[in-house]
Amino acid sequence: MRNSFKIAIDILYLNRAWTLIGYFFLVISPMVALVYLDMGVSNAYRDAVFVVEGGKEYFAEVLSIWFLLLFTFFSFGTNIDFMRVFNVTRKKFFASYMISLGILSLLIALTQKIINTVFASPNFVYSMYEFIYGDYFFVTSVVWLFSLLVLASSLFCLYTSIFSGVKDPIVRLFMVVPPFLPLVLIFSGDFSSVILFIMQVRTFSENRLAGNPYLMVSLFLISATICLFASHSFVKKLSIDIWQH
Amino acid sequence: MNTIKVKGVTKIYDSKTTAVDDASLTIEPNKIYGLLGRNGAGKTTLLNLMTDKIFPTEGEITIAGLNVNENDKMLASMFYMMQTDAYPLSMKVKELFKWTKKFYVHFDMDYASALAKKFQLDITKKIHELSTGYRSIFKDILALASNAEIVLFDEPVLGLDTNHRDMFYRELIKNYSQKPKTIIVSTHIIDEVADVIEEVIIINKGKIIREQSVENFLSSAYVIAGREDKVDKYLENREFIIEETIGALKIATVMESEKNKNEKLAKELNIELSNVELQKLFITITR
Repeated sequence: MRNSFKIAIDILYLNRAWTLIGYFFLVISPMVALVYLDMGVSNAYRDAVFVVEGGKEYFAEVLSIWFLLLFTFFSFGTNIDFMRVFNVTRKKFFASYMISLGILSLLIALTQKIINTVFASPNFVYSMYEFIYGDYFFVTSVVWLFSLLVLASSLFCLYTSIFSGVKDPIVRLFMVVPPFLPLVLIFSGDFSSVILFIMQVRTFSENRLAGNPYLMVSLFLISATICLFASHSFVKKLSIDIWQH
Repeated sequence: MNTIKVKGVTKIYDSKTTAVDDASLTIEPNKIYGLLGRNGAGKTTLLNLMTDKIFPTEGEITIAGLNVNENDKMLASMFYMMQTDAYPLSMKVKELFKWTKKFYVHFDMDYASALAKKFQLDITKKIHELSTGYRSIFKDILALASNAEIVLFDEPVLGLDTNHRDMFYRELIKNYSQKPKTIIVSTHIIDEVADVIEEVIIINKGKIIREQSVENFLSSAYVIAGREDKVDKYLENREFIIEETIGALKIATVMESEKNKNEKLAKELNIELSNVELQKLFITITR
């Protein structure tokens, strides 16, 4: 019997081709480009993105979340197909799927924060310890982004699980629309609307939780756990007749 | 030993289509079963239920006394050769051999490669490049080399030519004799599987109508042929199914044990008695 962690690695490996392409275009490139813009290069989008403090981070986070949505949505069917030919239980498939999303979330958080840190040149940091562990520096921001991405992943997992159980094509069509709204807004040039949600989450966490990032991370993880339990109840009912009939 | 028990299982799709209707049967270990039925009889649904791919509306399925639902250990002991293509189409055959080895530790790579050579399956080809027949061969090879305790085949000879079908059944018997296991072959090409299976399960319109050894099943009927009036006389007070009448000649299947056949009367009436073939008997009872 193959364990859940190995199956999680299998899931990432099986989807490696388009995951890497998506990772490059939606995770690495935007962060590099936005940090580069931040260094003083003029661009038509600059004002839109940096209309508020920390705008580039919000924008990169939105794209990362959207990348996770694509990964969750498109890998779900192919993974479950592959796993069902090898008689993997739904419980194990679900656990593996979440582990793979967790790994991906951690990778995204690390990648974005490393790029940001490399380009940011934090001149105002007094010590390496403060740089790594300080309230608004590397580890804290990685943990923050990681927890945000885990929450997003679990929400997408819940969404995909429900979507898989819906047979009515009209309901399915309505369900497909919301995740693509940010994309429409991005191409329509309305960046501020796209990043508004993330900004509100950040503002809420900073104001309501007295600026305590760990409290906020805990809140995110609790929300993620609730989402996971909810999606698990849907995954448990997954049946191959969804694809056959 | 892993006995599979299907207890009062019903599967209803979309609250209107009853695919399996109150099915109960016992699959003994280390025997070859033939799951026979017409198109849409419920064969694939029954196999999907046994392997926990779908859930029964009613009833339960156990292996070695344990419910099969979400049972990792039991499911790992089964290999299900599915009729549908669920494998990634862009993956090469040899890659899928390696993937199968990851999930079935007893998968025999050398045997799989030898079988691929024997069936002339190019393992460097991608799944989408294989013809329907070769896709079946590829899945058959995975199942044969899996060395799982329970192997289920759903239409294993779909799209195979006569030579390959013959090769497959020979290989199945060889594999079984070397490493005995529980095998269930679901098919509607009955004449070829007749010499392979020990037990027969016949499903018709979702109901299990027969579950017995092939020997007992075949001895439950016999065929008579002769002049129409003579045959009619023989058939008086007997349960029978008329198969065909050609001119004055009439052929009928008598639904009673071979032991009860009246050879003396048949001789007097100049009627020929013969054993019934599995396929003919199947056609007769599922009409």
